[in-house]
Amino acid sequence: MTSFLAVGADRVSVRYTGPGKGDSDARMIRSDHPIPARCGVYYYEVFIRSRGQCGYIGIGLSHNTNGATRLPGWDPGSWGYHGDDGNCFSGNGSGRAYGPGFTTDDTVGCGIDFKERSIFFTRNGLFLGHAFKSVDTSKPIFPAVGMRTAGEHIVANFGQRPFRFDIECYVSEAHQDALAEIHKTSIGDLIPKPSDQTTPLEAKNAAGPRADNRAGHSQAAARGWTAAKPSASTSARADIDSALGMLQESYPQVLKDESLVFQLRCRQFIELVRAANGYHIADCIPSDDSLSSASSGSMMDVDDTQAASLMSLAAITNAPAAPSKTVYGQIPNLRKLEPARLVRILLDYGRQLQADYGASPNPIVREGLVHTFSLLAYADPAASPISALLDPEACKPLARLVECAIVATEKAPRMSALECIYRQCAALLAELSSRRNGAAALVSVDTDFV
Amino acid sequence: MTSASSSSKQTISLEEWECKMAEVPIAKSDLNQLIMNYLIIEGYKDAAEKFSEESGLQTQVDLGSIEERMQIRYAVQSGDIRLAIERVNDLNPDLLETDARLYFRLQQQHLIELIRQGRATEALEFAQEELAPHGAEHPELLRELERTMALLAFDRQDSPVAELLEFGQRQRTANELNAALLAAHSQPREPKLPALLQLLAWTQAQLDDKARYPRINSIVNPVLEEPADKT
Repeated sequence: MTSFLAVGADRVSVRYTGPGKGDSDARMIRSDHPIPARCGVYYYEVFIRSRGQCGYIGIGLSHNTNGATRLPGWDPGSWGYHGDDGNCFSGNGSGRAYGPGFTTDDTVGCGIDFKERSIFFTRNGLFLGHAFKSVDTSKPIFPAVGMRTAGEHIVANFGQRPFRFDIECYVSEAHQDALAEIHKTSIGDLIPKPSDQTTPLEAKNAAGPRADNRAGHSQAAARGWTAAKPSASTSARADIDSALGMLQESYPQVLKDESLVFQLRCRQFIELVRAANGYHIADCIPSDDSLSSASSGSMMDVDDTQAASLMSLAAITNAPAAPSKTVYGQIPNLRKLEPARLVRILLDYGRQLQADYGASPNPIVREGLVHTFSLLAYADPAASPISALLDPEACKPLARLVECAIVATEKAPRMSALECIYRQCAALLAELSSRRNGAAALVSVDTDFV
Repeated sequence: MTSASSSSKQTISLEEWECKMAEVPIAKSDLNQLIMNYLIIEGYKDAAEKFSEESGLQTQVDLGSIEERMQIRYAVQSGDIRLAIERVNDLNPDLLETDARLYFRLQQQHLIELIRQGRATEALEFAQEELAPHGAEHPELLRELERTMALLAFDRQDSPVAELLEFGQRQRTANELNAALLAAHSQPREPKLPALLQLLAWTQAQLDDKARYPRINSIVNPVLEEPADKT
């Protein structure tokens, strides 16, 4: 196939150079690049420098799937407005009456409105109406010009010069139409019905029984913390072990924060000491061997309570490490415990702490551990220099930390609701316009909605 | 969404979508502007002042005019139409003269208030002297007047026009007046935030036809919901 079309040095003028005898001598030329994807309205103009012999010039658009030996509009997938008869063509050779013919010195414009999926033409700056509707915009579309008789010569204007037609006005109307369409949208679906108005936490957890369980637990954990407030009776104590148990079951990610877990476990130990305060720990250490093999057994004979406490400290710190996967939530209700059992739990707990953290390379952890255990060095910890550790108020900042950690795992929003909606809208507009949604391509969040 | 059409739909994963969202260029000042716009139009003067101060956002609006606008709105909402009209005339002497419809609305509200208080004779006189003359120029207003007068003919509970006595009617009148005052000061009548929500609803509906993607299903708690698995 010979080209018959000579493109000028300016890359936008085209002249027919073929024999121009019959329809098979027709040739079509497309622009090098298709109309860009994110486009609401596309428009270009063609100046007819010469109508040549018969003015069989077709201006229009085309997919790139059809042949280049046809005028635009003759084949399916192409659309054209022809100069000789003023007819418009789409996928057939006869066309239908559309506008006036065009000839030398006329300027013909061709536009496609992706919102309406329609193609229109202009002649010498006048709008001729929509020629085609329901255009298949799913495939790339190219500006296309066809000629078939000798001497035909055109110059295309892709916007490098001002257009004859006021395309700005057309675009601004299309823009207004798009906005009007959006402003008609109901937001009813985005507002929860009164029946399912729940707090965010409940809503999030309403997904299933497991989630319900979680919601229950986080509330229970919160209650556990409030119980630690000083206003509560002295017997009310922060039940950190069971809070840890709940976390282990429902928010295992929270327990990955080792520093937090360490602090919680130290606090639990302190709570045990608080519970045992008033008993002489040494008096309560059972004389049988069941305490643990680590216990030397000889310390029971010591009368001096201060020494005894130190001894029990030794009982803890000298214990060999017993590596085991810690299961939390095993400590029974402290209030119902007899002193001996409480002290045994206390010592076991301390021993486990020592086993798990005693060899920690982290100096802060080791220091914290020593600090915590030092409570045992005093016969009456409540009257000791470190009695501040026993202050129930000391639980509060820890409770805050846990709350924050839980919220963080709840996929809590990292941005404000407003920003989230803004970003969603902008991302959707970009996505839609890349999918040839003309209305979406015409609007933007920052210029139209701020 | 039918399963037949959805089977061919592309699914955009949460990770992929979050990346797209993160790429959105966003100016903090744009968000602040949206909030400021809402505060001003809805008349939260103190909040607007504070927000302007804290966000460093300059506003061309005379914040004092917000207060006057709010006092007018409050007067209408509490049924004191005379006071509202007085204040409107202080703030903007031309408004009610040029906007006959708006003026009628206020007069109608005053009539409703008279009827509500059981001052039937006064209401009749007021309707005949103040309202009926406008009817000749504006037939649609005359119909409204007739509707209002029907309030006198019925027991309150069974009246077909009982809605006129509801608080919502005062609210509608107050909104109309507020919008007119804003327009008179070349302020937008509507805050922009609701339009952003409409944009959200529209864009999501548009993409629903083409793809599965993480949606925001509630503006009360806007979180991305993962696209449902193909079934």
